[in-house]
Parts: sequence; C-alpha cells; structure tokens
Amino acid sequence: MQKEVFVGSIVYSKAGRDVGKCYIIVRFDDKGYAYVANGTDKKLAAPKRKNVKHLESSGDVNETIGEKLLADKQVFDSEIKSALRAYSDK
Amino acid sequence: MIFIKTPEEVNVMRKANLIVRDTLLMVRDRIKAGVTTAEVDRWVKEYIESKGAQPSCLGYGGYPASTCISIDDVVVHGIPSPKKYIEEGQIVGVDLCAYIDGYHGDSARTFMIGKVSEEKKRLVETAEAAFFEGIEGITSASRLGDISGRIQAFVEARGYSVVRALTGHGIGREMHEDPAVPNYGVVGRGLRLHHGMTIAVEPMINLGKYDVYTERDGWTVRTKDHSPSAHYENTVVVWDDGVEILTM
Repeated sequence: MQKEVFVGSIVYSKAGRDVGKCYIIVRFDDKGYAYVANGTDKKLAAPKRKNVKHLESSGDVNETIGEKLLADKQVFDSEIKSALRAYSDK
Repeated sequence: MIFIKTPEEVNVMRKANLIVRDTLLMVRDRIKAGVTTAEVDRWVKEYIESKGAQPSCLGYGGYPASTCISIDDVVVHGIPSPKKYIEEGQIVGVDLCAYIDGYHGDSARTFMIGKVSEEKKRLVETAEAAFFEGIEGITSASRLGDISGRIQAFVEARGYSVVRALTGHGIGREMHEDPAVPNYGVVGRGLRLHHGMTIAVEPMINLGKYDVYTERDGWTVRTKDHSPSAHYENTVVVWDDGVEILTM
C-alpha cells in the first residue's frame, strides 16, 4: 500500500538515476508532482521534480520544516541536510 | 578543555536535546500577550520535569529560574517575573536547557508576539538565518572562524550588529564547556573543529550597536542603546561530513 506523502514528508526515490536517495518534499505542483530537496545537491532554490509514484515514504514527516514550508517561512538547506542525516545513514 | 563525544555519547545527548526542542515547540504554541514571564517559566519547568529531565538553568550559578526570558532590548538572561506581562508587538527570547542521562541540551528562539513591527520581524528572521548561514557547509575540516566570521558578515551585511560580550559554547556533560563560539571572527581562522564536537551556536544580534550591559540583578543583559535584540540557538554536533542539529 502506498503511504500518503505531505509537504515535510521524508521520502526515498525508487525510480530514476537517484534511486535510494533521501529527500524531503518541499511542495507539490498542480499536476501532482512533488518537488524534493536534500540540502546538498538538490537545494531549496532548485528542488527536483519527481512523480509521486516514484517516491517511497519513510513514514516520517518533519513537522517543523513542513509547517515552515506551508506557512511560507524561510527554510534553510543546512536545516534540511541536518534533518535528513539520520535517514541517509540508513 | 574540549570534550569530544563519541557517536554513542551523542546518541545519549539526543534525548536532552529533543526534550529542549519539544519544550520550545510547546512554548511557541502557548506564548501570547497577557501571560507573565513567570507563567512561561512554570510551563517550561513542568514540561521538562514531566519528561524526567531537569531544567539545567535552575540554580546554575545561582540563576533563580528554569528559563531565560528576554524581551525586546534584553539580549539574554532575562529573569522571569510574575510582574512582567508579555505584550503585543514585543519580541520575546526564550532560552532553555534540559539535563538528562548525564548530558545537557540547549536551544533558544525569539518569538514574535502578535503583530510586530517590520524592523523587529526582520531582526528576528536575520538571527535565525544567521545561524543557518554559520553552519552551512561546516565539517570537521572547518575552523571555528568559519562559523563566527560567516555569522558576523551575514548579520552586518543586513545592517545589524553582533553582540561581542556573549558567545556560544561547547556543551555536553556540562552546560557550558569549551570552546567559546563567538558570533564574530575571521573565516579560515581559529580552532579546527573535530568529528564529535558538540557546540551551541547562538547568534545574538542587535538592531542598533553591539554594546550591552548587565543590570544590577547580575543576570539581565540589555543593549546599551536600548535597541531590540534577537537570539536564535541550537545545539549541534560536528561530523566529518557535516553538521547535525540536535535541537530540531
């Protein structure tokens, strides 16, 4: 079963050249694509566009970052990078 | 002496730091105009103790409360009082620490109460952004001056000043350990960081000049020109491949 994903969800890529990479969802577009960032090679200024079907939810949501993104408050690449550390190590 | 932590020690430290994080989130959700700073302090003490931890600030060097609550021109170490009401338009720094399983966690946020002026809002946002600017790209190969110098340059480029009289610090078994982590310095200079070094990085920035003074109570630090001040702090651990924020 596909787990639902939200802004702030921590996800893994399961298709494309970045398979296995960990990201956080920073927004969705009108067509249902997710924009993801990891704070390193995919920064907030230029997040990667991914089909939601090609993302696997970790089951976790970083609520602090998610709330800031939804409230249009500034989020920082180092904040995302730090938040994803524990997941990238897995 | 600087105490380098093993990954196992850092794992133990996470607990104290997550309690600090959650306590600040609780304060963020409850703080509003009309409550006294003593009430906020009570919330903090009760919350930290409900998690089985102790508020590290209480009794530290004789400090009489669990929380430092610093309003507008108070930079840090404002002592909570039942007579001090938080008001609309103020910026309120809440700095707290928790101790559990032999380790401390430390973090601070500046909350905007209701509608604040644009200049205060920008000041608060700059303190937060300065923290992230300071840690961006930092690894164990970096120097302390890389953090300090970048914070200073970022803050001063926005027209604010960084407080010189107060610094961040190492943290672990003690709330305040070496090294001092200033918010001013020169990139490429200073102590080399180390894998497993745990430090509290805490930009304290003023709308006006950087000069501060301590009040007669021996704690409250205020800007000399009475301009507003903002504070943003997290405990972080430096690893070979980057910085991990423990209080987020």
